[in-house]
Order: sequence, then C-alpha cells, then structure tokens
Amino acid sequence: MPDGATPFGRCGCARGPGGGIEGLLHGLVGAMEHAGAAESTAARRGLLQALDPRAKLIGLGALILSVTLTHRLAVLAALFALAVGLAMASRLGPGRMARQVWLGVALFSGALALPALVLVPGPAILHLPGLGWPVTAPGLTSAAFLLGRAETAASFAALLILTTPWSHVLKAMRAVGVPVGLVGLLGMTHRYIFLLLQTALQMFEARRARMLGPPGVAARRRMLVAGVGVLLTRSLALAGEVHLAMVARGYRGDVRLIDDFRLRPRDGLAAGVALLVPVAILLGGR
Amino acid sequence: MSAVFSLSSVGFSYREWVALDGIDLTVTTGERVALLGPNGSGKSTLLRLLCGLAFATTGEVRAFGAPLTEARLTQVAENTAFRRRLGLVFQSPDVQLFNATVLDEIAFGPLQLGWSRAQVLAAVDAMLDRFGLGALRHRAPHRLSGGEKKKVALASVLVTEPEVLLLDEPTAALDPRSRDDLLDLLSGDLVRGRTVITATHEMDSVAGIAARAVVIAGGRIAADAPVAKVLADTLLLRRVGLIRGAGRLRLEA
Ligand SMILES: Nc1ncnc2c1ncn2[C@@H]1O[C@H](COP(=O)(O)OP(=O)(O)OP(=O)(O)O)[C@@H](O)[C@H]1O
Ligand SMILES: [Mg+2]
Repeated sequence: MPDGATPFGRCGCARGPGGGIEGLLHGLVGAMEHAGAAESTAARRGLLQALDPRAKLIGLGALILSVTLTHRLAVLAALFALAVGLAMASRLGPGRMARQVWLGVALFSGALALPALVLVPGPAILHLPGLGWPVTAPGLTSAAFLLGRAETAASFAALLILTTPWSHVLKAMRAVGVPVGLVGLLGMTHRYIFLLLQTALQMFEARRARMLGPPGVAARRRMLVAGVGVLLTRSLALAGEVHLAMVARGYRGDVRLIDDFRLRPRDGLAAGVALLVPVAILLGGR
Repeated sequence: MSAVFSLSSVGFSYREWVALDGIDLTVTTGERVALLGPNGSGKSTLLRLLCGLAFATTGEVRAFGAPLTEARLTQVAENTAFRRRLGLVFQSPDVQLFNATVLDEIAFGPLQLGWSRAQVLAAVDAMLDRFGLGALRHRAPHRLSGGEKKKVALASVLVTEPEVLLLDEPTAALDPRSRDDLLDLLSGDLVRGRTVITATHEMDSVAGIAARAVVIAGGRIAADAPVAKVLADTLLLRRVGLIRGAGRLRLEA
C-alpha cells in the first residue's frame, strides 16, 4: 500500500456512498492516518524538525502558555504570525495548516465565539443582516480573543505533532517529567483509537456488504445503535489483546524508545527564547 | 533433557466457558512441537498459559522448573528473567504490532529488557537484514501487507533470541509464496537450537515445522505422537475436523 493510503481508501478522502456515519468514520480514520502522515512531515528538513523534541515540547508549551496569558489582541496576533512563520520555516505550508488545524478549530470554536458577538453588551457597531441583531464592539473583541486563542494555541500544538514522530513526543514528555502512567496512556490511546475506528469501519462495511441496496435512514440508525455496543466490547477486547502482546515482550508500564536525544546549544537557545515570551507578557502587564 | 514446560491436569475457563480441560503435557528443551486443532479447540489459550499471559484455573503449569503463577510474574526480576527466555508471536499481527515504525517495533522487546542502545540497534539491523525488511525500516507496521506484518511480528520476537518460541498460526492468511517464505524461515537456522511450539490447523505445513504433534480437540488432548504417525491417522484427523470428511471417505472406499 502506498504511504498515505489506508485499507479503506486514500487518506480518508474517500467517502463511503451516502456519507453520514460512514463518512465520518472514514474522515476520522483519515485524521488518524494523518498522524501517520505526520511521520513524513516530521522527516522533512525544516527548522522545527532539526530541534530536539524536548526543546520543542518546552518551547512550544511556553508559547501556548503565552497565548492563554495575554490580554492584548496585538500580542495574540503577533503570536499567530509567529506560528505561521514557524510553520513555513518547517516546510508546513499554509494550505496544510489550514486543512489540518485552522479549518477544524474555526468551525469548532467559531460556534462558541459567534454568540459572543451579539451577547456581550456594549455599543453596536453594525447589525447582522437579516436578523438585525446588534454586533457590539466588546462582543467583537471577545469573539476575536476566543477564536484567536484557540487557533494560535492549536497551531503551536500542531507544530509539535507535525514535526515530531509521535513516539518521540511521548518520549520527550517522559523526559520533561510527565508521569509514566499518563504518557503510557496517551501512547495507548493513540493506538486504541485507531484500532477502534478501524473496527467500526470494518463492521459497517461488513454489514453493508450483506444488505441489498443502500440502507434507509431508519435502518442506518438501527445499525448504528446496535453497532455501538458491539463495537465497545470488541475494542475493549482488542485493547486487552494489544496490552497482552506488550506484556509478552517485557512491557511493564514504562515507555522505552530507541532514540536518545542530544541537546545541542541551538536547542537550549530555542527553548530559552520561547520561555522569554510568557515572562515578557507577565512583566509587560499582560 | 530438562523440561521446559510441564502441565498436569491443567484446565482453563473464560468465565464459565471451559476452554481447556485435563491437559497433561511435557515439552523438553529443543523439541519442536505442533499444536494441531480445529478452530476454537483451545490452541491459542494453551499458548497463553505457556506464556504466562493467562493462568490455569485448575491444575499446574510449570515453566523452566518452577510453577508459573501470577504471583511469580509480578516480581520484576522474575518477570524479566521469564520474558527474556520465551517469545510469543500472536495469531493476529494487528494485535502484535503497536509501534509507530518497524524499527521501533523490533526494538521494543530488547528495550523493555534493558539492553543498551548500541546493542538494540545492532540486533535490530541484524533482524531487518535477516528478514529482508531493510526497506521497511521506517514504515508504519499497520500499513504493511499481511505477509510483511507476519515477518515483522516474527522478527520483533526473535530479536531477543528467546530459548522458547511460541507461534500462533504463523502462516494463516498468507498467499502460497509468502507462506513458503515464512516456512523456510521457520525451518532454518533462525529457530535451530530453540524449543518451538507452533499452533496450526494447516496440515500440509506441519511436517516442516515440528517433529511431534499434539492434537487438541474441544479443549482436550486427543493425541500426542510423532508427526508422521499423527498425519497418517486420517481417522483421528477427520474425527476432530482437521481434514475434510466426505472427500477422503470416497477415496478410501
Ligand atoms: N476472550 C475470550 N472470552 C471467552 N471465550 C473465549 C475467549 N477466547 C477464546 N474463547 C473460547 O475458548 C475456546 C478456545 O479458543 P482459542 O482461541 O484458544 O481456540 P483456537 O484453537 O486458537 O482457535 P482458532 O484456530 O480459531 O484460533 C473457543 O471456544 C473460544 O470461543
Ligand atoms: Mg487461535
């Protein structure tokens, strides 16, 4: 199978006929595959790819902290610009960032931010066309903060994930003192979610293959309800099996991986500069 | 020859479902044993018991001279010593392969056993070479073909050089070419000197991978004899469902 292809079609772009729940599953499997595709963006030669995972974890963590600390739109905008700049320097074009981060976050947090436009009291600056609801200046600021914070924080997080093999992200977490249990859990969750989605998709496809003609809406809903219970027990069983397979090979709860990291001066420098940002924000009166 | 495993009247149940019952079995060092049985006969369950992933509900399992109990394996030193000596290749490679890359997958076992980085890398390279998997080094295991997955699974277990190798249907669901490839590996010097127990229901591959055959049916041992003798006993094989009834009957009539 070529890279980027799943057993279910190319990188989840393939939609099952009729979309709906299957389309969603295809999409999710695709997203998980992107995590696999992140292994390929992680292998590109770029600014962040060249840094030690621990330095990246600390540095990008500091920038995410800055995003939550600041109360100035200009600072937020500067941080977002920094995220875009880092992405470009790491060979992640705006198109990729938009597809994998910005669009999804905009949809999700946009839904939360929109009501703020009209709900926050203040002087109206314009009226929503059609509805005539007043959009207030404080409302606009509040919505901009919500959206800006979410987008910028997500961008920094995505930069870490997209420029670092997942196993190294986990190992870096261990290295900076995240407890074994949590890291192990994250590692397993990643794998389990993938297995779960694959199982779900296979179940749906197996069922559909046994039916004559496309299912109606009611039939689809029945399939879904019946499927969820089976799916949960199945994936739990599968998760248990995977765990046994790890135990059989000597796993006792700690994540040990092959690449031992080496901190070079530039790694320290990058993390140090990034750490200055939240400090400056705190000192500069946020 | 010392006994690697000795089981006396071992039984195992999944809740109330009895999967194994009254199993008496001794396997000595260096033996190559085939566990033959139809689907659901209890082969995988027996391998789990031998590997210390499940524990007998009745009777006793002894491994390397000592009782194999849950309490024994909760001690870190005992667990490591035990895991170092044996490897299990699971029936489904999707269960076995959980790492991000083939490299990480093969390195996993040695790392858990505390090998140094240099040792791990050398051993991984040797395995990749041996199995002709070098090109797949940085690929994600779950995206490989069925045959490649089985090879990676086998390599990820053999890399720690276990004395005892437990194989659960190593050739199931492979095309004839991949199957022959794998059988070649399993009859060559990769497994020489090791104790190998292989669960299978493919009768035509048995002779190449084992000298002794233990037939399991309905969770009990139905026969335990040299492979040639078991393979010749068509009556038995038909009775337990390992070969097709009707066709052979007509041939004999
Ligand atoms: N997790 C489980 N929970 C309940 N019953 C189980 C479980 N695993 C296996 N069984 C049952 O135990 C019996 C033995 O199963 P086992 O997997 O050991 O058979 P097998 O010989 O390996 O079969 P196959 O050739 O299909 O792999 C079967 O009847 C099976 O239904
Ligand atoms: Mg089995």
